[in-house]
Amino acid sequence: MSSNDCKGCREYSRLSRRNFLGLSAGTVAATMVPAWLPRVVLADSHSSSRDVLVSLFLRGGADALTLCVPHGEDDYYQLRPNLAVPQPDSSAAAKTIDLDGFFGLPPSLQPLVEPYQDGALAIVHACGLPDTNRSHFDAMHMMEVGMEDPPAELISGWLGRHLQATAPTLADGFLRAVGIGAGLPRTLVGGPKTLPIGDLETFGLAGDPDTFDQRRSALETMYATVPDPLGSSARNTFGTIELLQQIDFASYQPAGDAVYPQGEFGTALKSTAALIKAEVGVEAVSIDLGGWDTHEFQGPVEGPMSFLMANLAEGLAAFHKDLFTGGFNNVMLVAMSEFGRNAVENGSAGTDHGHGGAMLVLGGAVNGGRVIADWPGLAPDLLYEGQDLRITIDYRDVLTEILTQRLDNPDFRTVFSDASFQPRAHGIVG
Amino acid sequence: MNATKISPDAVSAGDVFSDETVPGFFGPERRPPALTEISDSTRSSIRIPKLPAALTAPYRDATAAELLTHKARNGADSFEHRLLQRTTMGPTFAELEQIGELGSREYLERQLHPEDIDDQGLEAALAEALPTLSMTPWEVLFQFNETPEVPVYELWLATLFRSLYSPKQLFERMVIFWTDHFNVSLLSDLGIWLKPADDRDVIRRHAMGKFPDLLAASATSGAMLSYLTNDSNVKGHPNENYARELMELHTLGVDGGYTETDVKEVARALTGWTFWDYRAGPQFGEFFFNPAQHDFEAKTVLGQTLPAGGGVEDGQRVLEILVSHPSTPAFVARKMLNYFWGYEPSESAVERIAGVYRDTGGDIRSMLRAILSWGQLATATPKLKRPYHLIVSAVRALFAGVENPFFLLRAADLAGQLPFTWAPPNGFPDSAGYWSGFVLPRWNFAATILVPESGVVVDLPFLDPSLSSEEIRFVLDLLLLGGTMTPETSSAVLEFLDAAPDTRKSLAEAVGLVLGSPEFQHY
Repeated sequence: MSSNDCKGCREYSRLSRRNFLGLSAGTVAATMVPAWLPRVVLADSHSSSRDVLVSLFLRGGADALTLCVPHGEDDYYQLRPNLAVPQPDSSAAAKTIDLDGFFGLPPSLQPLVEPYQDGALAIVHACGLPDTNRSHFDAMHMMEVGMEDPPAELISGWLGRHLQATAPTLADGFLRAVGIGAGLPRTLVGGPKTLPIGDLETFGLAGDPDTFDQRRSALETMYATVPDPLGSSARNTFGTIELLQQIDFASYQPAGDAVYPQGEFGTALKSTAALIKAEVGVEAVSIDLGGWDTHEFQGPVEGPMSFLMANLAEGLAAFHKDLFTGGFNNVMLVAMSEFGRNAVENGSAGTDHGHGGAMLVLGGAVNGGRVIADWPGLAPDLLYEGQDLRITIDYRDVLTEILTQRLDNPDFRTVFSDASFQPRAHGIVG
Repeated sequence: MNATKISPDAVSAGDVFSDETVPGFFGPERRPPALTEISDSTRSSIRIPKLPAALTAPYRDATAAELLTHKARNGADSFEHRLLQRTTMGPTFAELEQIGELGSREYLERQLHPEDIDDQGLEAALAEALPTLSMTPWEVLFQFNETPEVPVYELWLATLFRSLYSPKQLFERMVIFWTDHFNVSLLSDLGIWLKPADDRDVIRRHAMGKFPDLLAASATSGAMLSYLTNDSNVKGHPNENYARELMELHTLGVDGGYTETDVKEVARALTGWTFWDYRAGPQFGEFFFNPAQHDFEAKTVLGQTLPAGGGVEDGQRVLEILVSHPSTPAFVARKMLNYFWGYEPSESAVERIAGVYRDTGGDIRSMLRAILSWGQLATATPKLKRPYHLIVSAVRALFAGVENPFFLLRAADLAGQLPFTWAPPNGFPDSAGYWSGFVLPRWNFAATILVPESGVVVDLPFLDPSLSSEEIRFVLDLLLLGGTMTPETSSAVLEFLDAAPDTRKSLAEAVGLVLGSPEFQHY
């Protein structure tokens, strides 16, 4: 090297700033796809018989009595004088959308009516983790590990262990599961060929796109003979970078004119749909949607929780339309939260940490159009610890049905090993 | 209620904080808000320590010729280099110089006596910028209950700057070891308010002392008792959480020979071991034995009887039983060997270090000396750096200053090891299997460490684009890898440099490649 030419410094600096703000590979992936690389042709329908699982975690403790309103319960209206969603026959402008004469959806979940009526969406009510813990931290940990009192050395998640226990759908694939976000969620820890990816669209090597090929080539040379586990991990990462580059996330057109909501959550679902249609062997995706810890000013009809629910419902409805148009049905999305909230509202127009929750299950094989519940009731003497919705369905019942019937899991005990857990079938999927 | 208008001496804290305001923290999200997303007001309320220039740039005027001389003196991959890899968060040129002058024995002896090493320059700068470091939990809660990010970021910054620049490197390594061993999540429950004091008064105070003292300090730490919920371990309703981890993770090990009955009995012995809650005001977080919640009946722990009528001494007796149980020296020795020496130490090595524990009453300094003085250190196989180690070692290898520590914390977070955020009680894993899965964040950290926005300030005049490709490769090998560059990395770097334009940007990219190399991932 001889001269000190700084041609390109300005460009480098500009791109670097973008990289820094967006972190990881940054927003430059679209320009770093080599032109010669053939783009993956998106499939019209899923060729594996196994469902792709999308695990959606509603972090913060989502209020089940708002997500799915028991409008047939007088006690609900006693417990929630200010926060109850009005009955379907109320004269209020914003009121419950009746589903089955007893349960209904709050108005902001209106977009879910279509998948529900289509039979693709089931709501499981009064379900959750049977432990009494009301700490977000502990409840999330137990739920994601899949045990009531996990030993300290058990750090893998239920979905990670499921992937360990099942053969990959694509034997030589590079990527079996993705946790969308920074850092792998506990749910997926332990999964083989599983990576945390902040943004599928921009997964790649950071830095100047002009030197991307040279730098990748240098790293490939360095890692070519490195022993496992680091060597295989490096090679899987190169494979994944290349694989994701072949999917044109940026210009992906959802089917059926589906429109995903703006923002991180909508983008995550949209990219997930593109990833599934690319058929590159991805079997599971984990997505987080936070903000459900509604201690004050909950706003179930108009306010923070209703905005969150609208984002959730618009995202799920778009995902449903996008995948199901053209019959791309072998997909299963399950949404859960670490606990529900107190049945009785608090003095700050909010609700505190409670117990029983609700799960949403969306997929081609769902026996949907139903609210599935062994309803415990909300009368004062029926409440859990005098204050909460009881849990009558273990959340692992739902997951066990999905894993064994739709994901070829050979033995649910490899995933849920608590002897106290005896799965019951609820006919959620078939 | 506006806390700032009330004196922190107010004993009636119930007037100051409602039950709802105390556990505010970061809300229920899995992790704190992304570090790059902290609000401007938060960012402006956290002061970045300004370190004395001598700490950050002692060798900036080194020349390539001096580096070559240095290499000739120590030789590539020398024993001294190996030792420094184990005693530091990544060797700096200054430390290579120092160990060359002192010899490895004297160097190690100095590192084993951190109390005699002057770190006033660093500590004064930290104290000046980060006031929560010296506060009690009550003072922290009182001043920052509306902005809980402040004590969290201050602890992160103090930890990062100590890792980067403390002359007591072995002590800092030991602190990280015990931070994992006695893991308390900063972001759980009361961790925000209590972990800073635990870091200062438990971990750092006893890191090089006697293991029994460290254990006793941890067992009476509000942070630990809160994290493992011993505050709800009460007579008639024992909570086994802390009792179990005390044996499984802190002393005996999972196969250490205790039974489920022992867990129940230890839990009973520790009923009433709790801490003052925030309503106690200035005593918030301090240990408190509550006789009203203690089970005074007799207990039997690991075959030894605790007679009926014992109060706080029941728990103290349990700690004595545990620190002198035969499983504890071996458990602690194996873990220290795994951390300081290498994965899967031999049984004879474990027995040797356990013997030092028994002979010295669990003297941590003596155990370390035995592990690191050991001639076989040179034959230990390399370990995979954990992400935090990788990030710190990169900055140290470049003799860099840090103007934007948030970049480094964010990189640690993306790679999975933001300090104090491991949620389960076993601490961040220290195994190649766990960490090897996430290599892209490592490469991307390496690829972005020298962009202007990283705030990592590097001034290496001897690293000049006018040098030949081979000269650059040689300097990078010496500077970043201690002369251990493999032929594969060598040819990759040469090929890259030969094809790249002769610019500082190309040099920065070459540095990024070497920091991303397999060699730099190991130590």
